[in-house]
Amino acid sequence: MNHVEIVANTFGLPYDSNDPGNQDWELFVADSNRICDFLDGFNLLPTTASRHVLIEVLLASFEEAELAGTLNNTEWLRFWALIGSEIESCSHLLAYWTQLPSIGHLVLEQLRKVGYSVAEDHLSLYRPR
Amino acid sequence: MNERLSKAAQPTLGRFLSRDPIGHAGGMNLYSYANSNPSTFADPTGLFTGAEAAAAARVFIAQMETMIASGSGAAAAGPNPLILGTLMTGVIGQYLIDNYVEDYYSRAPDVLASGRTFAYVNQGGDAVGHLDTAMRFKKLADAKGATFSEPCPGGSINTNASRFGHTFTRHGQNSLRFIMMRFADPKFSENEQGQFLDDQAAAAFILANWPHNKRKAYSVPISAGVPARIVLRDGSFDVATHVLIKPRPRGNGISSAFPIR
Repeated sequence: MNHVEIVANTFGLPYDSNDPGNQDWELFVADSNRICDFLDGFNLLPTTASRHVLIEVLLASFEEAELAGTLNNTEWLRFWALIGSEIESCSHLLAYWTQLPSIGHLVLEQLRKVGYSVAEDHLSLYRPR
Repeated sequence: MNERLSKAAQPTLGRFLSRDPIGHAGGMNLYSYANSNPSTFADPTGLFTGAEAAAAARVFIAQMETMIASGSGAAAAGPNPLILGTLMTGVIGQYLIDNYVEDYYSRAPDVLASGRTFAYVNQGGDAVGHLDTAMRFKKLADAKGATFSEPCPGGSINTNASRFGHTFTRHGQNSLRFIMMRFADPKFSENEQGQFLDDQAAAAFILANWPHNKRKAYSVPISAGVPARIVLRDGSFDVATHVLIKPRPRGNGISSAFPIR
């Protein structure tokens, strides 16, 4: 079972290994109405990689919420508290989201609070030592 | 004549008999073979990969450095513009960007001072990095009164993420680096990623095939005028046959669109 399947099974999300939509699976299953469920189940995931998959699902869900004007600040801050220890290992993933006009500024704001800056190419983060 | 995986080539001429399967992303001359230098470059599949790309990049860089230092060869060939970054595509482009772009910043003023046209072609980096690099070179050219040319595909459709979601940040003409990073990511299990090779053509195609009442993902056969490919995990490419379009859940734009097969 791959890491996407683990997340799909944990949260009852659709996944078909032959579906070409899997290229952007996290965008396809993003759901701003399920952010609370996803946050509740974050620590149930057994592997770092599966948690990273969920982080992308969550960011995509927050993006949909922001675009709909329904982003909940409490959930947003809870998300950052949950992934605190994962930031280093998924910094490339977070760097990607900083460049998006939808929630990039919000992601960047949180990263700056914990001492990260975005590399020039927007695909990696730097943390001052 | 050697039969290769992708093309039939005639090494003595440094020319392929068919167009490069990756189109303009491999450089502006679609019939060129390994930068028209078959004795030093190796490109057996028509698509640079791995160590071979790094080796080819080093040869390319060494040649450019010699030309710049001596003012000879193509770099000084009068009407021929100095073209840096012609090979900035795929793995070889990434090698160049990672190792040499900063060096070029320091060398560019001397080149520009000679009055040559400075053409910058970058199909390999991410969109933001490309724009930044192009603007830095243009400032140098302007400061020297030299001509700056950026023969990248231009157009009038705004392809930013506000309109097209993640389409061009993940699957655009400058997304190959992002795609290769995804393949290297342990959480990413897919073995292929679609890539558009002309963002403007892709944007026009998506807009023409986007019924605004759709909420679920749907696919449409790709048009001949929309260059696209499937990037496979092993670094090879395949032909894209359709485009999968994913509208946002509330119909407020596109979440993502990408080539599939």
